[in-house]
Amino acid sequence: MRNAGLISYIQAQFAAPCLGYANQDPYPTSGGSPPASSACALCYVAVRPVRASSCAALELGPLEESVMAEIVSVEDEPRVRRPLRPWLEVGQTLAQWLASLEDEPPPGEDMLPMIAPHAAAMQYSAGALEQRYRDQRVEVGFDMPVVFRLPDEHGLQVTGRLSPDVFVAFGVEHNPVRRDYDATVLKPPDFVLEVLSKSTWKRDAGPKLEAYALVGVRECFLFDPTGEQIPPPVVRGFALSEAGARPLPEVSLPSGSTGVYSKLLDLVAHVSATHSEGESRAHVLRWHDLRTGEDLRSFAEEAEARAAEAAARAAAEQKAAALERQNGELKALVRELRARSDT
Amino acid sequence: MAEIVSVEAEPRVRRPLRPWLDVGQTLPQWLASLEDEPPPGEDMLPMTAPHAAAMRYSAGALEQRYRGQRAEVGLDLPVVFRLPDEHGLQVTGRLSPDVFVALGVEHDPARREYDATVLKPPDFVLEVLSESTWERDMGPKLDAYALVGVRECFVFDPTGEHIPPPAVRGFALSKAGARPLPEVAIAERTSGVYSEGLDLVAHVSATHGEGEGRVHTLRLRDLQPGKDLRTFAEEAAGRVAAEQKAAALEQRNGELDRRNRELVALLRQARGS
Repeated sequence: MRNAGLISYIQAQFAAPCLGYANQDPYPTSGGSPPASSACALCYVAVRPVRASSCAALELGPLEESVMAEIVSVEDEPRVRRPLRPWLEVGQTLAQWLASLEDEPPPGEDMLPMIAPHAAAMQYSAGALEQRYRDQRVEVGFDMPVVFRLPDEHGLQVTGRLSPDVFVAFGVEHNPVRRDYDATVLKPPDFVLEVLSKSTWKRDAGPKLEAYALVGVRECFLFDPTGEQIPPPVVRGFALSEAGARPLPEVSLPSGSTGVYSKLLDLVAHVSATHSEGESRAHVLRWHDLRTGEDLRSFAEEAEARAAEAAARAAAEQKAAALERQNGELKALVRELRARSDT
Repeated sequence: MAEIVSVEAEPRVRRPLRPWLDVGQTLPQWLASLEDEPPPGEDMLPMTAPHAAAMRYSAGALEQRYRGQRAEVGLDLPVVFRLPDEHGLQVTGRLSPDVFVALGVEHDPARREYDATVLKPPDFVLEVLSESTWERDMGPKLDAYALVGVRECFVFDPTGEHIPPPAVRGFALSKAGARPLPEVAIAERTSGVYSEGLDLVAHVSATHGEGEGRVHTLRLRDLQPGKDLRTFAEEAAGRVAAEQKAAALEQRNGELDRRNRELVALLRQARGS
């Protein structure tokens, strides 16, 4: 059984030193060893303070490098396959761990409300993808909990829940009444987008990525709308498999911007613009269709395009009326001429 | 306008500001305590699809309505305000309406929070009720919005589980508290609540499912053309239909033009001979 193999794989990994990043700030601007008291920034969900003290990353030296090598490598086709991390606590079963990954904030941290660039990226992606798959059997989830069940060590079904910001499940009929998406009854989502925020990015870029791999999600994209959570590029894509999360390479678009190609969606996620106000930045995420050479339209662009098309249609109607009139007049003249020549 | 007549008489009950304050708590303290953390012992549940759909439709459609105008439409954007406490010190409070509209304020896509003290209080707020927030939305938050100067607050219960029908309620806010707005009939067997600030009627356009699984769809209707503000899907479908119609017309126009030229040539020939 697939999960049994994974469990033994994870348990084997568990003996290996933690590959996590010991500092709360995984991208320190200056070198030096991180404070000994801090937990791993990326695996702190599973690594409680007890284990943090023995966390091998504390002795790993310059963090920047290890981080860049592990998740950031986006040059060409990266060869590093990031192994499934030992997120599990001692004695915790896979199902328990998955069940523990619900979207509650980690203890002591508040779930911060979304910010405008975050909401905009979610709204655009969900809306544009819904339009793309309109009239097809595809469910596009927006802030919809995904529920799945896995057997625990006694063979009992344990329910887990993950809430991707946006997901796409091919072959599943859209259901407007759906309140949560049961991945066990239906199928796992194929594609997931997580928009990173201050309060969730560590989980999104760490354990959630792997949880998605475990439950069968095939691609996971991350977008950092403010550029404050991860180093550039702010759009990252990962191909998920039982072997873990493999970073997808960056591709260049004819426009000069770079992005990440999703094989499943056949679209390139890229940053089309960056607004800035003082020190704060807001990147704009867009999905580019290589076949049309255009970005999927936003609600506003669709509305503008409709207005423009409606105007074009009205102009064409006017022209049609003028031509019809002219046609009538010409026909009358021809008839008149014929009548005259007959007499 | 004859249609915007209240179904029932305008309700006269003015709901007084509730005594939400704890003993010894000042108003700014209370406001500052109203941030969007779940009440102790309660988890913030993730949104459900109908909840998210109502927020997305409202924010998107309102953005379209105010396109090219000075208006900020906030979606899940924290609103920050400052009030003096008992020592005259500024205390910061934050409320996160699901959707808000501030008329006369330039849209700023980089905004991370909306400072109501520097800019102005939002004019209109929509709260979509959910299992974990509806009690606060219907209670203290409504009064908090009134206090900070919001003029209208609408609430929508997408599943109809939290408040008795109707699922759309509107309140005119003032220092005197929240006054429920009357239901107005907009079509046969369809009624909604008219927002003076937006000049739109919020109403339930459809209900899917039955019993516990039912889901209401919120739409905003412009009474002037008598049509609902379009959804993203409708804009896209409208664009495609207009594109196809325009293309068909262009083809026909080309044909007509060709025939007209032939006729002109024929006439010239006839006149020449």
